[in-house]
Amino acid sequence: MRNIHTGMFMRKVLLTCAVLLPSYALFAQDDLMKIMEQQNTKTKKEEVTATFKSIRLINGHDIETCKQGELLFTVQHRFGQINQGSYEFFGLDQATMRLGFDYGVFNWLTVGVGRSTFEKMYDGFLKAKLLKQRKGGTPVTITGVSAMQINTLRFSDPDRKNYFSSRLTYSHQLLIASKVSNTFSLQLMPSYVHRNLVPTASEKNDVFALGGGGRIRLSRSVNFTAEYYYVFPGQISSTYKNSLAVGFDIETGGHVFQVHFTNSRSMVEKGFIAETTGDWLDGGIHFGFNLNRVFTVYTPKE
Amino acid sequence: MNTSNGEVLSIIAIRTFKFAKALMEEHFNEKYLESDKYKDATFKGKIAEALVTNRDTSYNVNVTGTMKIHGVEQPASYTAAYSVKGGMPSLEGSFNIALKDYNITIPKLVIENIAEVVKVTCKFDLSPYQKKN
Repeated sequence: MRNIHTGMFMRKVLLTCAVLLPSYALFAQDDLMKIMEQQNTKTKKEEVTATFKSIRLINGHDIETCKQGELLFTVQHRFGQINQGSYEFFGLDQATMRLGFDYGVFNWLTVGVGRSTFEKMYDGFLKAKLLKQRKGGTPVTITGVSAMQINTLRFSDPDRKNYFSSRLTYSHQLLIASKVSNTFSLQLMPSYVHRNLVPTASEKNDVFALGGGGRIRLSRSVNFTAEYYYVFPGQISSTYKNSLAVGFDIETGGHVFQVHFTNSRSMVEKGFIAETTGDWLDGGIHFGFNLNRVFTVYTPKE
Repeated sequence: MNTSNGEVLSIIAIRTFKFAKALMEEHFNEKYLESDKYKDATFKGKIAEALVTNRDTSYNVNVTGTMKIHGVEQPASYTAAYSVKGGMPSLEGSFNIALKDYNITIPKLVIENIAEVVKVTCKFDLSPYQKKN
């Protein structure tokens, strides 16, 4: 490994010195620094990178996408509610999980698929970066994400006429984020969830919500994160709560390990936005983690 | 490079270094070189030997100067190969950079994956400078 990394440095130095930069030999008495400064007058405003450490803030997406040719393998766990006490080992006896594969088709486009044990859910999403924040330029990055979920639990009443479409839910989100400083990023998430079938007539098929979240850098490898979704009133049953999650992102080379506490059990949008059951004040909190591992499938040519 | 007095200056933007893995590049910029704060790596120095430019030649030269990386300046001296071909001078060499000399620390957790001394190879193909008006 040591050698591989060293090799990387060598190659890129060769690249930049030999190919990218103009180099000059002077035959007269000129001040070198002044000439260099003249060369560097017009450069494009730099893109802001690493607004967040993973492509998910906690439960929901953030503005980051996979780089072209990158495959992100995600293992997510949510345990049971902490208030169930020592018999259930504070929820740890009741794990639900989601396995996901996300792939960077282009730097700006990521596709992903996943499977959750909770509600035997398949999900897929398309995520596109629409606008990029630049230093001294565009103030925000905007990413759109559209997802679809298929619940594959057996129908609760097999005797009545059931439709496949009843299993489907959709979500669309616009993610707007700004890396305010090196240590602080902020994100807003206007969100829309559509459920083809809802349990009672009083619940709306369409649910509108506004999410907010951010990260604070605590050290080079540790970040504090928080995420909240506010569901506008009158759309969902009063037994459901707004989703709130707080956690830490811990980076270890090719892994990002996210540990958190959340009142949502589901790890797909329709679940945590519209069907969160836990109550923070009541101890209805789930411990959970996302384990993200990046694989480089191929390196795009410049 | 000023061929009349042997002065050399090289400025490389840290962001322009390319890695095979995008994540490595992000970590390189974000966590180690902190390219937001320290944009460039700069070497400013002087070649001891006289530089021949009017005929094809090649010989080794000694360069002494100051290397500035990650905001830290260190005195540095290297041996490089100087050559002229068809009126075009070039300079080629390699040297080692110890990360700790430049205040770049590696977390213990990933110390196995990152070289503490980095070998840098460079090649400069120089062309005559045209004054802009």
